[in-house]
Parts: sequence; structure tokens; C-alpha cells
Amino acid sequence: MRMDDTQAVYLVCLTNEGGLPLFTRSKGQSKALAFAEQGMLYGVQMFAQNHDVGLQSTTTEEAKVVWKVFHNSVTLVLIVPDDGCSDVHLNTLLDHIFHTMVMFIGLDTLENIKNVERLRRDLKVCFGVIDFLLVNSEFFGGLCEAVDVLACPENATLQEPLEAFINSADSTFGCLHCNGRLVTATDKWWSLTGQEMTLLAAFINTLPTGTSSDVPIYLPHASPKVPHRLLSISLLPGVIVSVLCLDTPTLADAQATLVEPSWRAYVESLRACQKASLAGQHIPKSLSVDSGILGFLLVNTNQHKCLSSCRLPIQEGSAADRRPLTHSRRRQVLNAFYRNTVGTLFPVCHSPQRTDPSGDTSSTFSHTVKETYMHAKDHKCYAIYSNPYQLFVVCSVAVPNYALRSISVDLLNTLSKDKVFHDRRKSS
Amino acid sequence: MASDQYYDLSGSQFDSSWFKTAAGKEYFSSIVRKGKRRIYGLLERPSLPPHLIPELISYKVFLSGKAGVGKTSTVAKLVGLPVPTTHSETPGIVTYVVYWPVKLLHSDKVLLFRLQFWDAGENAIRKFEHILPACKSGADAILNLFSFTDRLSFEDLQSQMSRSSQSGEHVIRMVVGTKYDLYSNSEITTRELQNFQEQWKVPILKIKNSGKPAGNELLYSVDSMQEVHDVATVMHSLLEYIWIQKKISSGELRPEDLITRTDIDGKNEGELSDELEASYV
Repeated sequence: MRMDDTQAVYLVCLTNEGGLPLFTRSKGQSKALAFAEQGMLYGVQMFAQNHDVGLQSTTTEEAKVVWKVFHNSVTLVLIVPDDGCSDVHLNTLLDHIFHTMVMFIGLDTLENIKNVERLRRDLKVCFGVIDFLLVNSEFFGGLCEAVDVLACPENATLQEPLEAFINSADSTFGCLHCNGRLVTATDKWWSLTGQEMTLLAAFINTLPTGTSSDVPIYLPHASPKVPHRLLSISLLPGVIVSVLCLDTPTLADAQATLVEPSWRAYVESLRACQKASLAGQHIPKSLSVDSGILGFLLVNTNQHKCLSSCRLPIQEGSAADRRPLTHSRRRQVLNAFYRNTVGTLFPVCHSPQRTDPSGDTSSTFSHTVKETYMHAKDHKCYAIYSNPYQLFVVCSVAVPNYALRSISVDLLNTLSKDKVFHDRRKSS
Repeated sequence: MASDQYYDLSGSQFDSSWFKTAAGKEYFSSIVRKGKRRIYGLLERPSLPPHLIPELISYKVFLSGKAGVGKTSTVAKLVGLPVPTTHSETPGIVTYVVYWPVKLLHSDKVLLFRLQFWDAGENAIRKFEHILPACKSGADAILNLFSFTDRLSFEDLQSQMSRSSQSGEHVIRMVVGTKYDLYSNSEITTRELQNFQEQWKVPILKIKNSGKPAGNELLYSVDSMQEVHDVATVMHSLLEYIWIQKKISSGELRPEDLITRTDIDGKNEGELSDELEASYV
């Protein structure tokens, strides 16, 4: 298949029985896929199915096509530019997309498709989150199946009002997000899978600024058939408290009577948080980070959370300042480095564990890979796997090779020892 | 009450050009920042200098209409958020808040309105039974939306109006026609609109929510009130209508004192269409 646009991504969703198109999404400038092309994509897969062959993926000169059938009822096809990365990340993305559909309309409706026309209409609610997942953003949660968090000094302070608020709403599931990143959450919230936390964070991030909402949500793994209500209230623009509940409280009650008593005294902390998330460093200013480090991604595979920044400041006059990397380039590099490393050298950590391991290449080594690095014309990368942490670092080319390891180890120590990325669950 | 007679009261109580004056700008400068209206979280409200603190009046307004007519886009336009470029169904209830100061025409009194819009996806309403009651409970007004490019949405609206009049609901109601910029493709005639208005005696506002043509950013930086100007007519009609209807039902105002009646036989047709044009955004 020829790709007009090298960045284009296409997603096609069809019924497995009969191949009726349910929806398509695309990213990039190219025009949407023609009906005949969608039919062809389905035809290939149907041919394989009729011969008892599971079709997983294929590569063309420029693109990679991945098929995945969910619950024998929905087929998702993803077409992306081929960059040689392992299939596992594409399968993860498809898994997220299917579970986004579960999250909004429930597993029952998807397993037994009765009325295709109605299903098409119902699925329109998923577009916001699906489009968000298809775009290569500064959020890494979708990629590493761990929720993006914000580390700021206020994290601990805000735990108390959160607990009070969630209690007053007669619930135990609740959390506080700041511009798409999790700031603090209740123990129960942390007991959700990485995928659930990531998809919920993505949804909350797609809500219009300053709004409050009351949305029926099927937790993709904890409760795929019974909906709960997710109340999300903007305390400040971008700062959103969310609670999962049943019939009570109503949105109007929560807005009118529950918010003030719990949060009024903490406005300044919330503001500090809001400011920290907008600055884009996502770690406290007090932490010292080597000036050669331009960006990093730290994943805690136990708790399914990740901390990342592609906007670390460049010190004026430092070596890194001579050939600076733009923020979006750092993000690209970090993203590609992660996808090249995890699934080939480092193990993949699915949350929840997937029964269908397609794309998870078993390690070709007899030993566990602990560290790896990569050099390019305009950057250097270093990765460390120290269970439960996986750290990926983008450095300036000015950093000498022999220093890569030590500054990365230092960063890992700083971030994992500091209380900002600590386990805030009481149980552990 | 509101549904017994339709009075054309627009422009009789609120000073519609006050926001362009220096005094008005003093108020508006607190809700506008860098040419865009400020968005407030639930813990915030506009901060005005102490000598300007006006009376705060809160209304809850529910938007109703067929899926895809532009409920979410209309709210986004009115509260000053970016209008979504692709259609996506609203998955449940989303509420928006906008503040808007208004000066009364016959006194120096300034009122600060806090308008909370309740927007709910049509499919969600059908699928989950708790959503519609939550939206309607305590609502001060209902905006019924139809799209000029979707005839079905207009027919839906008519059947909805007759259903609600049969059930004897007394609620302040306004009708908003969206996608007015595609008027050349309109599937609804002016005559039909007039008949509709005469039959149900509700004001009809017209709105276009499409994004600005490129290059207008410059305009915003020169005239920081541009965005306010864009929605001022609709906001005024909306707020004034609700405010007057509330006053009438509480007995504080008597409609006879205020206006000339819009006759059902269409005597005021000329004025009527003027009013409709004026609400074009």
C-alpha cells in the first residue's frame, strides 16, 4: 500500500461477521480510506479466517497493517507507517481502542451486535478518546500501559482533601488530574489496571476546559457489563477531580455541596499544581537533573504509572545549548527509543496481562538485558531496566559516551528515591 | 405564564450596547483575557474591583435537540471555548459555565449573570434514564436546538413542542437554529419559521458556530473585545428573555407595562424579522 503522507495513520473498525464498516478514523493529511479499500482489508482477513489462519500483520514497502479480532465480533485494522518497531506496540494500541469502545458502550453491546446502524451511532462517543490515542502526544501512558503522572511537591498535600471529597461522595474510587496527568488517587483507583487508568485519564483530558461532567463508564476490566457514573468536576481550568459512583450523588449536588467543603482550603495547592503541569517539566524544580538530559521517561511497571518530560530546560551556555533539540523532536526520539527497546530488549509489561500474546517477541537472549544505549546524529539515548523501573533518557550529543551511564543512573536514583514518585498506596 | 402569550420584549430591559462603553469595558475586562473569555473552574469566579461588585444571578439552562445539530458547538461558542472541528457524540452530561455582566436600561444597576449550560448527548439520554431528569431538574430555561441543514431536526422539534405542551410543562423555552452560515443550503423556509414562532410563541435565535477564517488572530489582538462582540447579541437575547420571563412569573413585572404585543395575525411581521436578523451571530 502506498502512503501519501509518511505520518498517516488509519484505523478501520468492522463487524467480524460480514465486514460491515462501523467507523474509520485517520490521522494526518491524507484522505479517508475508500469503501473498496476497507472491503479489501476485511477480505484478506476473512480469507485467512476461512482457512483457519489467524492473520496478524503484514508489511508493505512503506506501511504496516495489523488486524485484530475482539470477542469474535469486532475487527480492528490499523495501518501505520512502518518504522521497524515490534508489533507489540500496535497490538497494544488496538487493545486500547477496543477497550475504549467497551468503556463507553459496554461489552454486551459489542459482543452481540444486533443493530449495526445503532451501534454506529453509539460508537461516536468513543471518537474523542480514540483520536487522542492515535495522535503521538506528550503522553506516554497509552504506549507503556501505565498512567501518566505529575510529580509536584503538592502531591502529598492534596491526598487529604481528595479522600475527604471521595468519602463525602460515598465512594472509594477517585482521583485528581491536572492537564491529563494523574496527581493523586485513592487506593482503590490504583487497584485499577494500567489500561483502565490510562483510558480514564485520556477521557478526562478530552473534556472541554472548565466543564463538569457526569458520564456512564463501563470499567473495561473491573466492570465491563455494568456501568458506573464518572463525575468529573473542574476545580480550576485543567484541574479535575473525578469520582466513580452509582446513583448518588447527582452532578448538581456534587457541584453545589461537596466541592466547597473539601477543596476551598486547598486552592493555593491546586494552583501550584496547575502551574507545575503547564511548565511541562512534571518534576519538582528542586530536583537536580544533569544539564545534558533533554528528556526522560520513567515507568513503574508494578504500579502502572509513568513519569515523563520532554521539556527539561536547557542551561544557557551549557554544551547542550549549542545544538538544542526541539521539544517535539525530543518527544519523537523518546517515543521511537521506547518502542525499539521494549518488546525486543526489555520485557513488555501488559496491564492487565493479556492472554493473547501476539506480537510479544520472546527475548532472543539467554540473559536479561539491563541497559542499552543508542547514538544518532543529533541525540544520544540510554535505557536502564531495574525492576520495577524502566528508565529511558534522551541526552544531548554533547554528553560524552562515558558519562551517559552515570547521569542516567543518577537520574533513576533521584527520581525513584525522591518521594515524588513514591508509592502512595497505603497497602504496599 | 411563559407559554400563554409571546411578548417581544427584546431590548426593553437590558442596555445592549453597554459592553462597548468605557464603564462596560471595566466589567468585561475581568472576564476577558488576551482577547478570549476566561474559563473558570468551580472554585473560581470573576474577580472585580470591590466598588464594582454586582448582584450575581445564576441560571441553569438545558440544551435539547437531535444528535448532531450542534449542541456542544453552540455552548462552546457561547462560553468562549474552541468550537470542536470534528463531530463526536457527547457521552453523558457535560456542564459549562459562563459569566456575563449586563446593565439595566432604566437604572444604573449592573447584574452579573452566571449561566450554567447543561449539554447531554442524545444517545446517552435514550440509553441511560437518569440523564434527562438530571438535566431538567431545576432548569430555569430550555434551549431547543435545530439545524438549518437538517430538516428532521426541525420536525423533531415540532413534535417535541407539542408533546411538552400536552404534558402541561411550564418552562421558559427558546429555540436556536444552528448552522445559519449554511443558510443557502437551508432545508427550512422563513415562512415555516414564522409559522412556528406564531404557533408556539417562542423566540428563535440563529447562530453559526463555524471557526473563524484564518488570519483573524490579528484582529483579536487589536480589538480584544472581538470575541465578546461575536456572541453579545445572542447572549443578550438569551439572558434578557429568561430574566424578563422570571420577573413576569414572580409578578415583579407586568408585560403590559413594558411592550407592544406581537400579534398572532402577524401585524408585527416586519419587526419580527428584524429581530430575527439581529440575533444572527
